[in-house]
Amino acid sequence: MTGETSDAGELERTVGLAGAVTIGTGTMIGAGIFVFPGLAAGRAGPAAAVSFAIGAVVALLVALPTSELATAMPESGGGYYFVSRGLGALPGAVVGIGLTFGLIFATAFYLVGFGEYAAAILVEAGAIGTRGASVGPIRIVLLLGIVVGLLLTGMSVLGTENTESLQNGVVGLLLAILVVFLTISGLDVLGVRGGSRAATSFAPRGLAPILPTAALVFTSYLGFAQIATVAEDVVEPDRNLPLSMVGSVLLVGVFYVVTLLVAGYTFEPDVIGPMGETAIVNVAEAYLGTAGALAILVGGLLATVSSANASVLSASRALYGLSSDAIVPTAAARVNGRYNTPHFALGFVGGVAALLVAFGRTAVLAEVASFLHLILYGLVCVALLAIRRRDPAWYDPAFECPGYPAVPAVGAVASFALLAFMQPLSQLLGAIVAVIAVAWYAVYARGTSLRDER
Amino acid sequence: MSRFDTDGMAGPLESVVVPVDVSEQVSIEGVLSEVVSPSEVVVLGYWSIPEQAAPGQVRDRFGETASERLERVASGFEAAGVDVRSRLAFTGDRERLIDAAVNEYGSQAVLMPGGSRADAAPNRGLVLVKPDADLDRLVGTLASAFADGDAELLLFHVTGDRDVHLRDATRYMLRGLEARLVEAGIDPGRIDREQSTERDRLEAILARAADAGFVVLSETEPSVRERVFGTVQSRLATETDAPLLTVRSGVEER
Repeated sequence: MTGETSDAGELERTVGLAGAVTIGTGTMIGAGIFVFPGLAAGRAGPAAAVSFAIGAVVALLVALPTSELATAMPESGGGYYFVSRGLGALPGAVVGIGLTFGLIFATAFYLVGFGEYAAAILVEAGAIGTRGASVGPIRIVLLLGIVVGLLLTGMSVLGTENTESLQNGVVGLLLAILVVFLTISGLDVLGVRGGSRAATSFAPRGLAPILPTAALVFTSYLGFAQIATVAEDVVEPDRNLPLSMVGSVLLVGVFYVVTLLVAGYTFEPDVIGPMGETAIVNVAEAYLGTAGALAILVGGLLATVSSANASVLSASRALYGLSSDAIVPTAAARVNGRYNTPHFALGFVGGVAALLVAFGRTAVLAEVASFLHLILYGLVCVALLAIRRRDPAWYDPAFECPGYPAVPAVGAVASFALLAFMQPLSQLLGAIVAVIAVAWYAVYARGTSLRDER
Repeated sequence: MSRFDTDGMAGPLESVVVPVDVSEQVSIEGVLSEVVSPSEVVVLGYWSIPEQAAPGQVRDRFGETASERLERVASGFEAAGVDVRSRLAFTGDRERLIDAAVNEYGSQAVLMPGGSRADAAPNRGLVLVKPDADLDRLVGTLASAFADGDAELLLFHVTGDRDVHLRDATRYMLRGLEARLVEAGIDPGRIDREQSTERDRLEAILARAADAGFVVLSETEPSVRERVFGTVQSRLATETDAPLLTVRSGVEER
């Protein structure tokens, strides 16, 4: 993120393994634990844990090829850069524009999650009757999400420094809360502390909901590829890039799986489903009483706002990557003289996200975000296959993807396959964004020659 | 300019890094850049970028402005007969940038030029003394910079403790330092000593630096060679506009 100099003399690398894992974990940890348990266990019961495990496997299959490409092309553009340089300008434009919108949908998703938590706290405080309460025509949940989204955007334009401190604090706090909560509740579920309180069998709805649920919750893994965007700063990248990507996916994956087992066994699907986005608060209350519920409420509030903030910044960066290659006008990512921030890019991202929050359907927002990211991930795997086959002289990765070519091939197939299990509305919206991206390329950017094309 | 070569005392500074914030109009007319007079200056132009922007994004927009300002500062030093290297960076981490430059060029000091200050006495300098610092280097630098002229130096140390023995030891150290400076040619009437037992070292330093014309201090942690520009320097540079000279420990012969 920092330390790029204008001349050849680069600064020393400063992000170690722990720092890189924190970046990956901090971006991911929010959604899977604080937003999805109710929605996922409501569909599949404890078997939703398998859905999260499937998501982790797909993420791992993509993480390895991404690591190889990142060590060969340590550019801050990340996935967009790999695809445009590996497969050409059109696929590059599609994933670049797709990624920007994917991150905007993700922002909206986190903001709705934030609204749910903020409203739940207002309910606890007695300020409003239920989370479903409205002000005029709009639900309070969505209003809170929109207000905070615009606030975050405004602060970003003013150059307020908050991300790193927020994120580091959040990661530490969340892991502490979760370890306590999951240990106690996990022991309870297993019956170690008296009779087991498992309320249901493992797969009360059968195995059919597992894959659609995996497609829904894959949003929980968006973020591991963020590590690739700081590849230039990572110490010993050949070792630390793959280790931190794989490590952070495994770390959050284990937390997700345990969380879902606990949540799924605590309440039957018919009970936990209607609890919605804040179901995990009810789960915590069941084991740890009011104190546990409050801890999870605060944790959820922090995690969702931190993820939303990180997504706004990532989306703005993605726009900058596109503008550097003249796929969007350079003015879109231009910084202002006063705060040195890209006000248009940030405002566009925050504004569209706020509009999407008003739309208010958590599951669809999450799936569209995943849809657009999965296209990118699949094409990153394809880009690796293509580049290795061409084997250009400049290509000299410090880390080589193990299990080549099976790992990237299966990674690509798995990424695209998950798209098929989403609900039709999400597929439609995702496809519309992709088509718009192609049209934009044809009208505005055709014939663009990529900077530093190799 | 006098150049003292007392036995066992480090000579004048050879290479000094001068960080310059090129995101603003630059002037380097602080008192120190004239008196320190090193043989080489590394002009380190930096443009601080917020986390919301990529370094390249700011460079795309302001790269030319930054280069022009850096060039102006560099030619100012060249006109004064100093060897100049210049370097430009867009960074979110000024401290790390300075450390890296000092290490890369093997410089002995960092000089923040400071800004224009109406309320401070330009001639009165605050010298922050730490017992574990390289006092030879500090004495050598102060002597070569201030033996001529009429700058007044306040030797200042914060113990952060009311322990009587510690206070005595500190007084002894400050007195010794004063004696060495006098020996090196600085008029005793221009040297003052003060020790503080304030608990919060940093706050005490910042309060004392508020009306100082310039500040001279040692590197943050002599034990860690890579770290030169630390918290104290960073806060001083940000919160006061005083020119700030950070002197590094002498490099041991290998």
